[in-house]
Amino acid sequence: MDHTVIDGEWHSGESGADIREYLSDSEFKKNEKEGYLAGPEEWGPVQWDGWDRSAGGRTQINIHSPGIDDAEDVDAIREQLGIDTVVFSPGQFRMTTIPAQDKQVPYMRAFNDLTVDRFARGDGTYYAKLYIFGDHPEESAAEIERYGDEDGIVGAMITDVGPTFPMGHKSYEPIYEAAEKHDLPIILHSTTGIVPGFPIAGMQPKNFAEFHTLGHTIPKMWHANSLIVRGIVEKYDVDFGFWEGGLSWIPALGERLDREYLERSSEFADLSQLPSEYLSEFYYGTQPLPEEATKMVDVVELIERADLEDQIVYCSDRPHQDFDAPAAVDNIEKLSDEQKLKIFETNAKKLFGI
Amino acid sequence: MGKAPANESSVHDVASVDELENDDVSVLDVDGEQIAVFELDGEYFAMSNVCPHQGGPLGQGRVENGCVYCPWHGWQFDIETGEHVQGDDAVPTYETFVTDGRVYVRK
Ligand code: FES
Repeated sequence: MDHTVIDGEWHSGESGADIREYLSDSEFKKNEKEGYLAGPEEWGPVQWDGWDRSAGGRTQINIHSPGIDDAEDVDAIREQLGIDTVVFSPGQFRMTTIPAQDKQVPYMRAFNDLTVDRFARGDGTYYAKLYIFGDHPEESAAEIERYGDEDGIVGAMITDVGPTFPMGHKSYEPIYEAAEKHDLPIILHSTTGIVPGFPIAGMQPKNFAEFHTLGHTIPKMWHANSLIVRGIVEKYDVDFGFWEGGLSWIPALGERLDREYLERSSEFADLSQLPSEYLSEFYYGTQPLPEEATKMVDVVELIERADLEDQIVYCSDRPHQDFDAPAAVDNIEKLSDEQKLKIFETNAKKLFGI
Repeated sequence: MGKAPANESSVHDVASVDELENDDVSVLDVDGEQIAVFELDGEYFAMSNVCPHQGGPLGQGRVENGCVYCPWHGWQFDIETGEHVQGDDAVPTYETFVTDGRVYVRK
């Protein structure tokens, strides 16, 4: 069955210094240029986290590949991989590690100016998501207001590791109001940067493998749990996308939520269906798909049982070391052609309105 | 590695011995299939250039401890047998031989 391939996530490759160029206050920009003497010039306030993601140089895909400065810079690899359309995600999502809280908002704004200028083409090939900050909900909502109707902007991405509260917390409501008004989905994306917040603080991993195994999945459960228990899913007509956490946590959370709901529904917001049924209404990025070797997961059965056929969006996660080529989806033998069409094309079109 | 005449239809010229040395690698197209030929301490090893995981270019991978590491996600394949060290997905391997100072692969 013929289908185009829409990639729900390719990261842009800007540095802290590139974002700094978009700071609107010239005096602040000048001070920022001169103020970071202890690290490489291109870092600015966004620190490198020190992880070796390449297993000692054995893999060669670089998380911050230089040379993705504009959308068109990915033309060649995109075509090689057989991807037709890309929805960019912000590359410097480790902005939650900026230690000076009063600098986070101007950098967020500058980042979105850069994204709109360089990546959000809205031309049938390239689209992009805004960057929003969980701990700055009013200012994040203002970003959605500012750029929500821009042609190439089709979503807002939040770094789900780093915010103080889980996303059902009332402080986020300005973001949900703005997202509903502009019909933009909220995409949750973790980071394995060192963030002084849940769940990173206290994890005490021995190495990247121990860290990365849980660093994406646990925050997904934390936020999805909270969005459902506190009733955000009933209150706002907003699509939520959970990117980079895999799929297998969904039934695990559904099982726990339903059990609690049946025992103590009075502690939940007013829900019109079982908690697990809301999980079937969220969207999920494919990356990382379960490996065939993990015999305990049958991805097709999971999709069918959790009713996710219309909710899953192919994501490459280029240029990160654990990216998935479209082959990762194509290789799943039991997926029907119709399911592949939905994963590669239809679901992304519906979610992003492209 | 064995000896064989270089004029059979299934035999393909890779490079001269001088061109393929010092842990070098050469990737050639054989009937539309990409094959990577590695030189390692004077021996030649040929395997499909296409990783069975998601198609990564094995010819660009690091060679270490008798294994090729796929540059995409680091899957580790025995350079001689093509076996995936941690799993079941093997890469096809091919016989190589040298005649008159040239390296050949038989497919
Ligand atoms: S494509 Fe080779 S390890 Fe993934």
